[in-house]
Amino acid sequence: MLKQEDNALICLVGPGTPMGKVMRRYWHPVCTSAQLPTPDSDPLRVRLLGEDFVAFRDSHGRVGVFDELCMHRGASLALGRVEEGGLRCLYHGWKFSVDGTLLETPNHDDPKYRARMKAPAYPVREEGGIVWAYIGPKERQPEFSRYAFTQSRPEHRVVLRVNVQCNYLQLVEGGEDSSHVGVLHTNMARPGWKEKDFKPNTDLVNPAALSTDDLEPALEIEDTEFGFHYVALRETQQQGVKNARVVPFIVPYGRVIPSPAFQFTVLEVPEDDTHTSTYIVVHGEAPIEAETIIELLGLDDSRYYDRGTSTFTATWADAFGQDRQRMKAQSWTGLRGVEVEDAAIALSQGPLYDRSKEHLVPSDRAVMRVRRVLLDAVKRLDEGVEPPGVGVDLSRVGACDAQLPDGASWRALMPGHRALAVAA
Amino acid sequence: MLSKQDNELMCRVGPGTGMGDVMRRFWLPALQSADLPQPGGDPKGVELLGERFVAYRDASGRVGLYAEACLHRGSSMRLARAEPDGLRCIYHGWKFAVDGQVLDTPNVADPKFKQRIRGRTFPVREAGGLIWTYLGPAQQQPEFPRWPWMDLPDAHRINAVAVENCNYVQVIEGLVDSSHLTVLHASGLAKTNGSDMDFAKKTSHMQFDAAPFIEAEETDFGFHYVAIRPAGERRMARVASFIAPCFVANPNGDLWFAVVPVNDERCNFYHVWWNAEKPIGEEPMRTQQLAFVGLDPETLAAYGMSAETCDGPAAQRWENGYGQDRALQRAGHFTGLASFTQEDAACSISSGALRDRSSEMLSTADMAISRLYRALLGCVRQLKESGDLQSLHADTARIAGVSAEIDRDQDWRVLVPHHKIAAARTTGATAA
Repeated sequence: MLKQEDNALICLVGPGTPMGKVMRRYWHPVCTSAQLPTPDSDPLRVRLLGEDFVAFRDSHGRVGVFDELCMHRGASLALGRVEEGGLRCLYHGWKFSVDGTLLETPNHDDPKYRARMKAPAYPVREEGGIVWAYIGPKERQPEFSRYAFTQSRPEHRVVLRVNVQCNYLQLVEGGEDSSHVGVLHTNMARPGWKEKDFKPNTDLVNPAALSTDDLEPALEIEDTEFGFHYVALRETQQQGVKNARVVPFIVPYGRVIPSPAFQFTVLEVPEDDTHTSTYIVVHGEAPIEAETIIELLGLDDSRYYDRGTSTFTATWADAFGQDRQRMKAQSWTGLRGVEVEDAAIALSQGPLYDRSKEHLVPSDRAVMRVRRVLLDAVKRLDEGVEPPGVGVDLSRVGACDAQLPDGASWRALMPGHRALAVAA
Repeated sequence: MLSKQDNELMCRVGPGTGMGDVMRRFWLPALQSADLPQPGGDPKGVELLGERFVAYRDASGRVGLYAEACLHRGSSMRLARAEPDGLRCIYHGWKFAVDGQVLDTPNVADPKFKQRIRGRTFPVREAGGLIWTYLGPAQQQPEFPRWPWMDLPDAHRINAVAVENCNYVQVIEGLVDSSHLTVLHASGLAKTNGSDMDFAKKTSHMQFDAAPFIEAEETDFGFHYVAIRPAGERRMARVASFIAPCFVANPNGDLWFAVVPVNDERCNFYHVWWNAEKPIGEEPMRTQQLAFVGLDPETLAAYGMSAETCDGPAAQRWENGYGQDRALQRAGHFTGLASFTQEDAACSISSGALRDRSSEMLSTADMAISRLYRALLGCVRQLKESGDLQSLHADTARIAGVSAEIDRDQDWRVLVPHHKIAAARTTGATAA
């Protein structure tokens, strides 16, 4: 439960807001590499933290991210021409290179004028199938935080973007909430539920494939340099052995979810206060197809997901496609796939969830910790303390699902996670 | 005419508003029994006074009204699984009975936890084909009101509802406005000539006098008003009653309305006809009645006036000319709209989703309209000043709408002997 003031403090991310200032200290995904498929392909409008930008790939394959509106008289550069090593505004033909250099100003053809000016272009990296940008204060630009998936082979990786019309935090919370997996994702987590007979899901790709049907996991949390990680400990059939699922929370909105053979890195990037781009990156040690993941997530139906615009389109107009006949027969939720279930739940909380009326329980402890970490970050930045995890190397941050004998430490399962020293 | 400020006060009904507080002190219809036909059927989304709820009939037939957000972490109970004894949230599996009892919390180990908490459900009663709820403070919950038609068997009653995309006051205005009948419903009333239907017989005379004598008086329940038209040597008096906060007893004597705000810009317009002698709820009488006034499912859908169609392209609006058929009008129909319900709705909706009353021009024929404003604003003031509302204590079983002939010099009040009239607040005039 959060007071409405505190809720606003961590949910609102526009320019000048306290959380907006925290967010602007990190690198953010602005689009997938696939959305700018080839040199000189169409420019793309992108929205990030309540601001509008244009992204484009020039003739040499380099990517640029600018403020959307042309520096001359504010026409949208998303209407522009991408050609001959730059982006050209349609209105008066000003042309810019990816780093913001003015290449041409046809209606004022003075080289000295051009040399004095620079377009509002932002630092850009392209890593792991994602275009990343830094839009914060120049003097604070951190090291680029490299996730583990950026080092995997492209054929061992699938990158998806899903635009969802709600605030980022309710999507983040669904990801730091192990106890919902065995309920909301019942059909994948507990395939024998209908007969009350637990049969583990044998799909090596599915992140909701639990190895036990214990619905009351015990949670333990430890602070780390990137935020925190927590474990959900579930009883197993075997005496003296628990199932341990360790999931990190990477400030400000990242997580990694384990499936038996792959890691699902999920980044809930705020477009604005009520729109979020969820980036789901699946990677592992074996080849994986986008179609497999799209089907697993339930996004293989154009009524619910528009692949052209990467948008989750299901709404209350058709109850998110919930099929109540199937609910009676074999489907717990009547929804299709992991992401459709997660997104429908988040959307059902409203565009920006009011946390002043809820009733949290011990299995929501990781959710409470997310809120506390974010509130602390906001309050401490206001006092001049830099946010946690900025510029940290994330290449050894991941998740696991393992059997843990009693007495063994779950913390040892993830040696790449650097714990913070516990205050005395 | 009302100042913008008073207009807002009268029309807005969301949580924390003056009129919203008034509404929340009454039992209100939330939906019709027919909307939840099956025990253990699918839960249904319900919006009321700008808030969202989920209604559900459990396997034993009891109805529950749940706040939309799950008690735990606020995901929608509209997505919940319908189990025989309650609704189970699909997020973490918490299960709630229709009375708010918490039946299961799978992710909490402590077995006593569920006894310590209570789901967010609201009191519900089912009577007269309607499902009623009380959304106000628990300690202020009033007795459940009895209306004369509530104890009749279903076959002696017709229930119908139309959804109108405008503020509720605009719809009530049409119900306490006798003088528009002769004009707006000219074509409908013409069809009453020679019809055997009770409704037709009771309304037919209004074709011929567009300027009835009108008198309105404050009562304990709100107000009543009379429209008197000449009838040969005698006079025909039609008395309608407005019962705060949103009910009307029609002068026909067998027709009752509730105009319940869905939100500030939409309302549910419930109709109840009843007849102790005749099984009017049976076919063909039921459909005959509904079709005559435009409340049959086909006509409602054609004008976007059902829950399923009110957000669709057919819903009456500026862009579709409010569904008016100009060819039909050129061919002789007065309005070019299907029937009474669509004509009234077109007038209510076309004056704006929440109409501005600062520039209207009321005449003496609109005496009951200004009385309505005073009654509603009076409720807001009364509740603020005294914490109570007079109309909560009125005996609804004895409130009548009446239509009858009286002598030339007979007082029309003999028709409503049980109404408690407030002293010295009478106003009357003949519309010019």
